This record gives sequence, structure tokens and C-alpha cells, in this order.
Amino acid sequence: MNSIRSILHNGIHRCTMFFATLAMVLLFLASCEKEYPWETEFPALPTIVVEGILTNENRFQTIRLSYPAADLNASPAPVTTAEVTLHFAGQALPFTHDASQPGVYVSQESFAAAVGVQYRLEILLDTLPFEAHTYMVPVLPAEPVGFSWHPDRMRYSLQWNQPQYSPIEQAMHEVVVRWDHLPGWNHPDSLSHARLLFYTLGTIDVSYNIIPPQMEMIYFPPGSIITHSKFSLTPEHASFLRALLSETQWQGSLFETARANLPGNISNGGLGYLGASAVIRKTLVAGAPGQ
Amino acid sequence: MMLRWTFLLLCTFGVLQLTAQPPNLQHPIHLEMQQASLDDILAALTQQTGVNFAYDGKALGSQRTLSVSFHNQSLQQVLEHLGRELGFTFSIVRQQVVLRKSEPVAAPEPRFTLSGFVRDKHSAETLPGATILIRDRNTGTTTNAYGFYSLTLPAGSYEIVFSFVGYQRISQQVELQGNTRVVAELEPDNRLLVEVTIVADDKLESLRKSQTSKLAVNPRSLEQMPGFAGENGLIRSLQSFAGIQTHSDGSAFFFVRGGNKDQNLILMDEAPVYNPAHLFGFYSVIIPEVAKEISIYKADIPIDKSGRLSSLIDIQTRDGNLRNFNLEGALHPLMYRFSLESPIVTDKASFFTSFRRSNFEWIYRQNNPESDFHLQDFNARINWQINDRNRIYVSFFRGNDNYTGREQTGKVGIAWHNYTTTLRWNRLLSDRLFSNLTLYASEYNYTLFTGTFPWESGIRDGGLKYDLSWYKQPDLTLRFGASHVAHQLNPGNFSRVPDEVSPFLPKVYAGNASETALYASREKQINERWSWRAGLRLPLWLHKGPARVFTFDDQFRVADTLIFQDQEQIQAYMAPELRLSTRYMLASHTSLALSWGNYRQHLHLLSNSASPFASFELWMPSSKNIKPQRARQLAASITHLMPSAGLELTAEAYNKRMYNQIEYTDHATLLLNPLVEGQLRFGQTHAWGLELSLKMKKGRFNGWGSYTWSRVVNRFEHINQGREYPAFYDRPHDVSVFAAWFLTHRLVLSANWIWHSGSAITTPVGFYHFNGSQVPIYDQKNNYRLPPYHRLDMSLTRHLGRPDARYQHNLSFGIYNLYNRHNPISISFNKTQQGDGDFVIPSNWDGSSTLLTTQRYLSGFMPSISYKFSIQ
Repeated sequence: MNSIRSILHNGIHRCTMFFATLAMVLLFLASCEKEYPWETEFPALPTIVVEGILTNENRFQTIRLSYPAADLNASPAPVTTAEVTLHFAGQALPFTHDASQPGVYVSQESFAAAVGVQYRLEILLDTLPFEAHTYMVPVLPAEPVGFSWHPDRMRYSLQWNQPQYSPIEQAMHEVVVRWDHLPGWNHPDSLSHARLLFYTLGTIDVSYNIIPPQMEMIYFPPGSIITHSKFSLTPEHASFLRALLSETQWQGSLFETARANLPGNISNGGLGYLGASAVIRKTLVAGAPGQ
Repeated sequence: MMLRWTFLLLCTFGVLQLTAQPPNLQHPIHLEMQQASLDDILAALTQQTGVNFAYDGKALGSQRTLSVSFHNQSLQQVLEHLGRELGFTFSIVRQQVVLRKSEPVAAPEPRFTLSGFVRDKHSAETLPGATILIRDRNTGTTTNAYGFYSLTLPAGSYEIVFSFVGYQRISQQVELQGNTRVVAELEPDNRLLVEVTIVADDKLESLRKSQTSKLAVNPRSLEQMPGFAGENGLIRSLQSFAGIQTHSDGSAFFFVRGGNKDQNLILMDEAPVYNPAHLFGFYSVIIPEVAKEISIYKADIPIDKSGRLSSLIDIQTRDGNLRNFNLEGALHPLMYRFSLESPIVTDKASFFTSFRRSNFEWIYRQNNPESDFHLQDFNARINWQINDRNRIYVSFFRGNDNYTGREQTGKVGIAWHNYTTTLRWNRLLSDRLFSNLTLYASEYNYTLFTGTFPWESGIRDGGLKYDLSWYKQPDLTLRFGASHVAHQLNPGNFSRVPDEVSPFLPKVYAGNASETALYASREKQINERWSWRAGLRLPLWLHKGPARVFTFDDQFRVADTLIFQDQEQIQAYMAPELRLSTRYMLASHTSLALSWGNYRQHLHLLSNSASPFASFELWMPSSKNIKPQRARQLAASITHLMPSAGLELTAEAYNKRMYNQIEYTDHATLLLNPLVEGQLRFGQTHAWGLELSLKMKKGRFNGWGSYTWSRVVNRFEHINQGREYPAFYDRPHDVSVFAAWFLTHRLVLSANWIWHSGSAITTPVGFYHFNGSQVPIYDQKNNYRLPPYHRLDMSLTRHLGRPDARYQHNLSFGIYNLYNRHNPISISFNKTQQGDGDFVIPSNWDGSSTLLTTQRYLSGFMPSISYKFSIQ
């Protein structure tokens, strides 16, 4: 199984490196980009956004509720008056709004979500009910993340080495890099932490596996603490995240697909997704170059 | 007394009226006489019937004798028999039967067939679509795709006029006293200074014979159009014609009268070309220099070349010069090409070959020396005239793109190719019966090299066609034939997969398919003003294994899995296609045409990409889950010529309905998905419009302009909540203008200006925050229209050297998008701007990146220079 994953990983991943050059040729010949005048203020939409992943870590699980944004760059207005209850294994566990984190609802008891259990989330906002169903699948081991040294910048960047495509598993990878503990990096105006997301999906997408769009590069100094979390994804959750990528990261790429709303699992017109994931985490420190 | 006489007169009159009955020709006759004269026979008839006969005995030769035997036949029958024997007719005059001598029947006028070929005088290449006009009879015809014509006329002396666009007209006196073969050779009008006035006769003949919704494009005229980066391509040139719209800059996709991009059939020497794009769409595999004739049908598609709903682009490549050696070439910074033609045996056999290759290395080699990015085309054709009645053509085309490199694990990158091979045999079965047998093969293959095992998709065809054209009468042509094509489809799978990995990888089955068709058409010229044509095609489509077929329920969940073995029939479709058209000359320079047709399409290109670039598409057959696409189109046009002003005006309206159109579920997964058919949604499209065009050719100027008003509206039950929405290529207004001026005999200036309404796209009506991203919320599909697209291209060509020299060469300076219009192809809401001004997707989902609305545009101001030469 590991050799199969390795074969698939090497094959699909390497393409990405190559196609940067191909994209350069196309871009030379053709495309450019500039700002487009667009009115980005929108009327309020009568619904809520549900965001949450129940994990197999024994902790107080959280769900975030918000309203759709008023414009492209507006911070989402939190939903603070909803009643939230999670039903599973014959019990009903209420979630309480955390006033210190507007919009965040915390389980009244800590628990670890588990494989094989069906979860049902009930939300009641004023008189509007919303519901979501989810379940968890196991997670497979992850390979250690790699990073590249850039001597001109004296910084590292992440060298992503996990498979983008796999017919065996689907996963979300969250890499949190922090360097605000390092001397000179704790100024509030400087970038001192980053949260990057990567995905292993069961589909081949031109804008992901073959000719991806140009992404922002994040550089971090030696001594940064890197926490890699791998979240297992059910097929439905992966499908939602793939659609999310299509509408966010892949939008505007040279081979983007037709646009549409995301296939969430929130009833009654609710937006967002409630997922349940098994998680594995690894933390390492980016040492000095050569170490 | 007076009263008595009056009464007597009245009675007598009344009696006379009562007794004056017309002769009863139905009176039965019983008569047998041997060697009796007409006088005697008529006397006997009078005795039997009481009917009196009046005749000139001398004129009728009443003393001639004959034997007669009539039993229970009517008097009329008896008189008809006698009339045939003795040469008289009869009629009733008052109460008598009057016999008159018959006028002699003129012997039928002998008719003979005038047939032959129309050719280029220098190269002996046949000229399809050339006009043959019989001056005094005001009738004529045009040559078929192989330059052959046939006309059956009464014996006599005729002045025949031969003409073709770009050639000097000739006339020839012919004494038609038997079947006559005339081969006309036309001199090309190669004068750099083109002084052309419309010649009324042959242009009018074209007006009578021309077909609605058809564009006969002279490849040489396309060469005058400003190109992209120095190259003229057919696909890019199409957007200058009414009713045809390309996706955007850098795209080989085009839409004809509201039809989708897979509804256009491109045939090169009868073999299909599935992907006409080089470099994802920046260049076309079809360059005008290779073509002898290009015909574009937007409706009323010929019955023998059907297969797509919206258009046929029929390309005949050059035969090769049967008399002279000719080398041509072109060079510019990104491409070079050469073509060579020569006789093998003068006037008997010749070949034509061309080769084109890109020259991109200087762009990327420095940064990526292990990479190989190139595109190339190769065309070859052999033409062999065996004798007066038999001719063989062999054509070969290969176009391929390769964008690959080497990594540690192996080859990575993308490559695709189109191959076509055609063998054709023209045979004159008689002077009026022309046959063509075609055998062809075609392959389109797209490969993604991953370093380990490649992903491939494609389609292979093998076909056989036999067509007959019977020029039965000058006003009646019948065409009929049969065809069979087999398709082998691969909708995208990994290949050369190790056995231990294979069970873990999905496999998509499309099976094989075949289409067998019978077809026939009839063209009739009713009179000088009115002609009509009707055609019928009967195709039988078979979808066959090997395949694993999934059926789906109403919720698009898998309901059943069926396994089919190799060649096992999965599904069959059979339904007739009809073509009806008519043309009426309203006045000497004005014609009205009407056409109606229904169309079926059994091959479908699946792609939910919004990109202008050709990428990873799948060809799928009509199957259990995918019904054939269907269309009906009604078109009406009016054409008016103004010869003195050199103008041709056309207005054409159409109404087209398409059924079983294909859309996709939201964020459909098409690649490597065995359940891909469950991702499809079906509905209808309605397209309608009005196309106005004006062509002008006078003196040093020629050009054309067109305006199209059109709409394209979709309705799908599962898309946009069942509401109607405009298609992406719904562009209500479309204007294009092309002009070429011969400033001097060496200098040609050409310009091409295009303007059309912006494409319809989907834009958000709100956003929400999820996992660090701003996620768009959509309501109506295609709710927004991009800004109008417009650009101006110009080129200046200077002919170098002497016009009569064997070595001809010219230098062209071109500018694509002269005023650097930034025509957006997409708008996105997900980018942030870096310090260096680049727009990138944010990677840090913990940050506070300010997102911008950006547009992507292609092909700004782009100058080019190219050098062309020819050696004759």
C-alpha cells in the first residue's frame, strides 16, 4: 500500500513542478491580469454559515456560526444567539456561545468524536431551524513535511510533498507555522505566523494537479515551529472542500470550471459544512540550514 | 294565317332540336371486313350507328384497303384504331364526326452530355465550385468537390463560360453533336493589383445555385487577413463571419448559431479532425495555405456529411501541381513552415506536402533546458489521374503538440495529436454518373505524462463511404450513397499501469460505437426562377462493448451495473434526418431562399471547463444514459447583388431548437470518474437570430462587413432551478468588418475589426467566510455580462521583387489588437496583490489579505513580422 501511495504521489506531484514552466510559456504568449471595477457590497442574505470539524481529540469541540459577509473583505458578523445541540450515541450535548470568541459555540463537555458514530447537529436561530448530519472515517499516516531553503531571502518555504491525488484516501492538511516567539518577530505589524491548507483528493482536476494557479509564497525563518495536522475526509466532506477550492483557490486559473454554489450539508438553505475528522498531528522545528 | 305558320315553324324547330342529338360514340360495333376501303368501312359504321362522317377522301386516302374485326367495341375505340392505322384524327362537329388527317409528330430532339473538369491552368488542380454558364440558354451548373461538371443539352452550338473566384473567366464555343468532354483551364488572377468588377452572368448563376447558410471561403483571401503572431489560422478567421463566434482570444473553440463547441464537424479530405487547436488554442491546425477549398455550412448541412448539430467545415487540401514545381515558405519569430508540390508525371500524377513547426525554444530553454515545448503539422497528398475516368487521391495529415520535460521519475507533461489518412477513388461511371469511394482513418489522442504512468484519452475512427452523383438532366441532379464509420473511444484512463497498482485506480469505460447511414438527395430546377432540394439520411447508431455501464435513478444515484463484452450491443439509435430547401429568384439580382432540416449528433464532447483553452476533454458516445443530441433549424435568406457598385447584400434569419443538450451537475467530476454519465444533466437550447452581411469588391478594395443580432437561451430541469438562462456564448450583438486595400501594386493594407457583446458569466450575489476563505454565493446562472469585446488588427504586406519573377516574396508587418484593448475572459474575486504588483491566490489562511476583484485578459497589443516566399 505504501509503495502504491508512493507511486501515485511521485507521479501526480511532480507534474505540478513542471507545469509552472508551461504556465510561464502560456503567460508569456498571452494572459495578463488587472483589477476590475466591481461593486462588492451585497444585501444581507437570510441564512447562516456553519463551520465546524468534530475531531477524535478529547477536547471541548467548537462550532462557528456567522452571517454571510456584507462585502468581499468584510469580517463575517457572528451569530451569537443561536441554540446549538449535537446529538450522537443516544445523547444530546448542548453547545454554549463563548462571549470571548463571538460566533464560536463550545461543547459543554469535552469528548472525542469516533469512527462509526453518526452525528446530528441542530441549530435554532430565532425560529429558523438548521440541521446537519456527519460521520468520521479513519486517517492514514502522513509523511513528514519538507521545506526548501532560499539563500537570497534567508528564509524557508514549505515544500509540499504529500500526494494531491489518491484513490485510497482523501484528507485535508493544515500546516501552521509560527515564528512570533523568535527575537524580532513579535511586532504586531510583521507577519509572524501562517496557516496553510493542502488537500489530498480522489479526483484529478486540471487547476489543482496539472496547471495550478499562482499562489502566494510564504517564507519563514529558521527556528519556526511547524505543526502539521492531517484530517481525514469522508467522500461528502471531500466533495465540499473540492468545490470550495474550485470557487476560491482555483477560480480565475487558466482552466477553471463552471461556477456554482457549494454542496454543503446544512439544511434549510444554510451555508457551510459540519465535518468529522480523525486527526494526526506532528510538530517540528525548522532548524538552521544544513541541519 | 300568320299564327299558323309561326306555330308550324316553332314545332319544326322543336322537333329538329329534339332530333339533333350528338353522335353516340359509345355505340357498340360489330364489324368484320376483309380488304375494305375506308369509304366502305365508314358506310358500314353509319349503317350500324346512324352516325354521319364528314371527311376529305383524297386527303385521307380513303381508297386504301385494310381488314378490320371489331366485336363489341365502342365507335370511339373503332375510330381511334382506324385513326392510328390510317393517320387521321376525329372530332364531333355539330351532329357529325369529322375526320382530319393527323399532323406528323416531330422526331424527339437529340440531347447530349457536356461534361468535364475545371482546372487551374498552371497547376492543373481541379477547382470545386467553379461556375459553368450556357450563355444563350441562361442555364448552367457548378463543379462538384472534385472539379467535375455535367450538363445534358439538346444538340447545337453553345457558348460556354467558365469562371471561378480568383481566376480569369474564359468562354469557349462548343458544337454539341455528341457526348462531349471539355476540360477548362483557368488562369489565376495573380495580378497584385486586383481590378475586379462583378460579372453579371456568372455571379447570377452562383446566386441561382448557391445554398442557404453556406460560406465558400477562398483560402487565399484568408491569407490577406491579419493573423495572430504572424500566423493566419482558419479558426481565428471564422469569427469574422456572421453567425460564428469564437470563445475568446487564444481559443480554438467556436460556436455557430447558438450551438455548443462540440457541435461543429471539421473534415479534412473527408476525415474528421477532433481538436483543431495548437498550443491550447492560440494557433489552429488548419492553415489556409494547405487548403484548396473551405466550405462552411451553418445549416442545410450536406446529407452525406452529417454528424453534428451546428456546422460543417469541409476542407479539401491541395492536390499538388501537375505541371510545375513550387516551393513556398514562411518564417517568423515563433513559427516556420514550408510546402512543396511537384508533378510526379506531368499531367498525370503529383504530390503536395507541407511542414510547419514552432520555434519557442528561445522563450523557455534557458530556464528549463530539459523541457521540450513544440507544435508541428505535416500534410501530404498524392494525386494520380489514372485515365480520363479514374482518379486516386491519398492524403495524410498529422498535427501534434508536445509540452513535456524530464523529471527523476520519468517524462512529465502534456501532448496531443490528430492524425488523418484518406484514400479516395473518383470514377466516372458515365458522362452523367460520378462516383467517389472514400476510405479514411482518424485518430485524436491526448496524453498527460505523470512521470510514472500516463493518463490518456482519445478517439479513433475508421470509415468507408460511397457516393454517387447522377446529373440526370440539366435541371435535375440526384445524389445518393452509403457510409459506415467505427469509433473506438477512450474517455480518459491511466495506461501502462503496473498490475499491483491497477486494482486501485478507477477505470472509465466508453465502449465502441459505429454509425451506418444511407442517404439520398434530389436537386431540381423547376424553371428559371425556382429550384428546390430535398435530402434524406437514415443513420443507424450502435453502442457496443466492452463496457461497464451504470444506470442511474431519478436522484442520479447508481441503480444498476451492467457488464458488456467486446462488440456486444449496448444501445441502438435510428431516426431519419431530413433536409428541405428552396430558392426563388425574386428579380434578376435578388433571390430568396428557405431551408429546414433536422439533425442528430451521436458523439459528445464532455467538458465543464469555462476556460478558452482546450484541455482534458472526453469524447463519449450516445449510450443508454446519453441520448443523441437533436436539432431542428429553419433558415430564410435574401440576397441582392448590385454589380455596378460591386456589392452583395445578404440577410438571413434562423430559428434553431436543440434537444438533449448536455450540462453538468455543480462542480462535476469528469476526469477519471467511472460514473461520469451520472454527472450529466440534459435540457434544451433555443437559438434565433438575424445575420446581415455586405460584401464589396471593386477596384483596389475588397472586404466585407457583417452584423448579427442573436440570442441563445438554455433551459435545464436540474440547472438554475429549471429557470431559463443565457448561454455563455449568448452575445446579442456581433459586428465584424474586414477590408483590404491594394495601395499600390506592391503594397496591401488589411484591417479586421471585431466587436461583440460580452459573454454571459456567473458572478456572486454575496460571500461567506469558511475556513479562512471568502466563498462566493450565486443565485442566477450567467447573471452578468462581461464588457463588450472589441479589437482591431492590421497588417501591411509589401511584395518584394518583380511580379513576373519565379521567386516571389513578401514581408508582412502585423499588429494584433492595435489599440491594446484588454478584453476580459474571466473575473475572479480571490486574488491579493503582492508588492511587485502580481496578483496571487493567498496561501495564508490565518492572515488578513485584502482580496481584489480582478480580470484576466489575453492577447494585448502584439506586433509580428513574417517573411513569405514562393519559388515556381
